[in-house]
Amino acid sequence: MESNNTEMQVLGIKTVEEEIIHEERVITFRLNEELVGIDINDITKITKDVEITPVPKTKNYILGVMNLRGNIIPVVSLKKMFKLEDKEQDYDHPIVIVVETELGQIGITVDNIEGAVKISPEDIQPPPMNAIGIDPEYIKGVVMLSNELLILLDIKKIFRKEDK
Amino acid sequence: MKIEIPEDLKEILDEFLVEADEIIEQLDQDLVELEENPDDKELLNKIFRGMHTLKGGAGFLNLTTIVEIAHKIEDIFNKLRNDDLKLTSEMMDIILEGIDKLKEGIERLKEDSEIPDEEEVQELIQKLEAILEGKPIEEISSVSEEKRETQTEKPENIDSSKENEEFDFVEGVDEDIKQLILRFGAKDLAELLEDIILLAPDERPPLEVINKLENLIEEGKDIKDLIKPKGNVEEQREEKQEEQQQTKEQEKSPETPKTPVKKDEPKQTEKKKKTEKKEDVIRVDVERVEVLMNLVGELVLDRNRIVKLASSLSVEQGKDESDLEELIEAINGMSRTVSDLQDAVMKLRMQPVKKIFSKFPRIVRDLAKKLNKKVQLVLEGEDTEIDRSILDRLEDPLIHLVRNAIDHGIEPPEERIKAGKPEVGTVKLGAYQEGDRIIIYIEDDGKGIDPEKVKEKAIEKGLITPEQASNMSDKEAYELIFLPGFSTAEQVSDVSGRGVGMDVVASTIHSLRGNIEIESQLGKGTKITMKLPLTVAIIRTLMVAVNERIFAIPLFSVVEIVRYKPENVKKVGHFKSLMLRDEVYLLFTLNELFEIEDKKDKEFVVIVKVGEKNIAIAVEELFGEEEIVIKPLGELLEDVKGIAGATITGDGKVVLIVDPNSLISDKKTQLVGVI
Repeated sequence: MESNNTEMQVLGIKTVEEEIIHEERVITFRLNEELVGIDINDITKITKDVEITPVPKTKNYILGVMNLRGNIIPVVSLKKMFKLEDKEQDYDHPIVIVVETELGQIGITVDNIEGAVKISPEDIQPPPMNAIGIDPEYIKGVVMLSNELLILLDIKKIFRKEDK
Repeated sequence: MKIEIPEDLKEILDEFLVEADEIIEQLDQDLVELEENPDDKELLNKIFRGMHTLKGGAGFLNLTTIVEIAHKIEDIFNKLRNDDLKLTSEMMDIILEGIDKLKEGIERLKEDSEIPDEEEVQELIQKLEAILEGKPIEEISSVSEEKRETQTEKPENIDSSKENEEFDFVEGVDEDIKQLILRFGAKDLAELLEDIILLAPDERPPLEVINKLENLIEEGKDIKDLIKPKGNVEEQREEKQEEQQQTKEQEKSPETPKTPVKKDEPKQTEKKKKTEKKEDVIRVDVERVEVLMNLVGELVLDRNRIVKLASSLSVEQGKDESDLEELIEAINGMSRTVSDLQDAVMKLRMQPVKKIFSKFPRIVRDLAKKLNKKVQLVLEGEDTEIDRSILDRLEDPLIHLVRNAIDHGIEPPEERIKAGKPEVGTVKLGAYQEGDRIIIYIEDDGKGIDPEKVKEKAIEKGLITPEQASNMSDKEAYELIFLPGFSTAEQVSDVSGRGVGMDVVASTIHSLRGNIEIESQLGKGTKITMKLPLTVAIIRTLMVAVNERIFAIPLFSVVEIVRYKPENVKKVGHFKSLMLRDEVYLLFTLNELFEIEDKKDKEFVVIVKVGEKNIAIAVEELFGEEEIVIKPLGELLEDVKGIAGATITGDGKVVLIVDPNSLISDKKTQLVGVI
């Protein structure tokens, strides 16, 4: 941000400033073939090769709990939660994105991290009906990238108190 | 009305809130006690002082309506202790109403930073005033209108009383200091100094005045050396005591006649002791203790790991004996220190049960009155200490149990006399420590629980079958009360019929890893006993495994461990049972309880205590005892049955902790009467 600021002053152009302020950074990953993203502000950590201890008698999408720096946090399979087809996921060596929610920190397993992209809010469009198989309630919107559609998840809505 | 507290007074507000809570909590108990001994001068004085302090603090923060109420109650107690008034039960109701309003005010101040409006308290103030004027209570309701006008002027009266205050100064007192005392009241000089320093810079007296004050303090001068004492002997002493102990005192009640008093040496020393003691206490944020507790927890785990490593080292061959011995000695030393540290930190979290017991005299009084019963409450072992987080969660269950005891247990006076019992029923609430457990009990001498009635009810509600009922012992019948959906009251009264049910009481106690038992004798009374762990964070467990998944079973629910012998297992109906010596236990595998794949032979049986019963759980592997730190599973998994939490082992693995009570409770209804 610091360097952007100086550049801004040199240019002295207002529009540049606005763009910078409103830009959002999104971490993107795969759920099956779909490209899905989560706002970087919702993410505390991305981790690989963690050991997940299964917890008996829980809903099927709850994979168990893991040790995150001495704290115990639940791990959830997004694919199972969204009732998506679940074939590729490797539960022995999962990639876990730890997100901050109303219910505390929660780990979610994903197939493959693609990277980080910058988007601006005006590019976000409402989700197309039933196109993706994910409940539109959990989707903030979609963004058309150069050659693919990015689905933005609304983490805060996925893990809410009343949904427990 | 909203209250704006300037930033620099926030700390004082916090302190006031804590102090006010303490005073009011104590008041409830004192007032009920007072009703029994209305002439207890010491008690009257104590209540008066409490009100006085509250009023002072509230005045400093300009909480007008709170000041008004406290002021009136203080006046009433002043009259009571001077024998100008005689306490009646009706008066007490109004005073308690006043205390409730104060409580509410403090609560609202805390939550929404507002206090009751003038109109809200007007009627109350009038009632209190009527008491002050000695009017009979019946008239109180009719005095309303005429009072209203004088009422609105009250706050100014209070303010002006401060200015009218005068002191007789000893000769030679500096003029500036005189001004200070006139402005802030006669209080301990050190406190005076503190108050001045807390003032906003533009309100603060010039630095030289502060220096003069500091010099006086250094010379060891006391306020008594500057002012000629006045006021009624008792009053004066108390006021001073008061001001020594309590900070933020603003006003002196000017209404009592003042006569000179001599200096009193013994008091002086006593006072010093008190100030010293006060300095020994610091208030610490619970969160900080929590952090400390966690760190110690980690340290305990590390220690356990090192101890384990050291013992495995010692069996290895070819090591230098003396080095090894030294290492083990060092580890033993560290191990002891860590244990001591653990104890010390644990003690930080301990609080006497008095903190919640003190609420009960009031609850019992109000309830007995409402139900037209005569009840005396006996508190025992109030100084017994228990972990704060457990204590906090005990309050609701205890209130429920005490309510039950009065509502369903204690009979109406006529009935008691007929049964040849004393007219006044007794409810005992007590606590004591037994090993590493705290026992809390509620005992009444009421009519007891009829096991047959309980069974009938349970059958009616479909909780058990008639066959189960006929095989059931009395004790098992009492346990039915804890089942969800059970309530013995023929009609739900608004007393015990609201809020939590007995099933919630039981599940709260279980979630604290405690247990609850009922003993009852028809016609004689009921005793409910709760056994609770001393602390929540660290427990000893037994590590077991099925299908390569490790679980920790809390050691306090483990009764014994035996080898699994197939020849001792019999099938009884839907269930398996284990014969051990002369006993028959219901047997489950941990696999079936946790719905885990079952493919290996069972090697061991752990007998665990679940409520009244001992139940056998078969496991595949046994790793021995381990001390662990309990951590929550996170909110998403809060309601998981059978799991109390998890712990992280020395090598970073997560191990789940079994909660036998909730694990078995699913099967409980089927189990009733089976064995």
